[in-house]
Amino acid sequence: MKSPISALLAGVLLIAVVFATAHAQSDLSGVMKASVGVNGVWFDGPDNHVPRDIEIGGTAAASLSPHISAVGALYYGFDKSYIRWVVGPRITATDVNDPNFSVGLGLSYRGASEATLRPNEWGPDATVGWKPWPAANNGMPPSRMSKVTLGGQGWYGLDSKRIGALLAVRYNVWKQSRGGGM
Amino acid sequence: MSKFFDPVKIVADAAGLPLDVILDALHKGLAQVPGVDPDAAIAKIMANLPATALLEAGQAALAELGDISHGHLNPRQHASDDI
Repeated sequence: MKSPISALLAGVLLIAVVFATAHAQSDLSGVMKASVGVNGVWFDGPDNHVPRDIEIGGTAAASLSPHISAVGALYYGFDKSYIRWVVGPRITATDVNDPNFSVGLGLSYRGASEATLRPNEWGPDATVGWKPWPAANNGMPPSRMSKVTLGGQGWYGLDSKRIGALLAVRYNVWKQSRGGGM
Repeated sequence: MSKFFDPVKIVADAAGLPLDVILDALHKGLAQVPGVDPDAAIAKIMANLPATALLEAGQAALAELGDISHGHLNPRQHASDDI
């Protein structure tokens, strides 16, 4: 797709249609969650003036089926003062019933405010997430540490032919409960 | 299994050798190991290789698209979705 704006709009429209349809026909409990966190990020490219940075930001995810999720993220790069965002679908390639470790493969649209981090483009990515302190399955409220996720991600830009990678720490701040509450 | 995702074919292509040669060599090698059924071992290797897992995940996701398109959501909690 040539225009990044049209690609972004198409992605947002697709997600909106899915949610509108789902909201009309079924319970959305347990679908959505949001986290905040920190990244150490590395960007490839000989003319890239942002080879690495520390980012803070937030992620949101909607699990639509056991294997399919829609994910989005917005980050701020501390050192070079940029904003970077990612949105796209993801397929979980490991045990979908394991909430504490998974590998996801996605096709994401990535954009940035910093010219050297563009073009805004589509590209495949692979993501690993691990909860080192999983919630105890004893009916007690989850501990704070159970909301921590460690992970990493690598991606490839289809237009720029450049790769990127990040290591991340996340803290889950909101999860739609199975009981219908927030 | 789709030949596109066949891990043994990928190895054969990378080596520049026909698939039959790779499979035959693998079979003969495993047959030398006492107590190993080469056919069963090859089947187990194929079933546990990452490419097979990815293929299965892709097939499962395709099957789930139908439910999503009808508005039937069946969420799971994935640690990788937090990243």
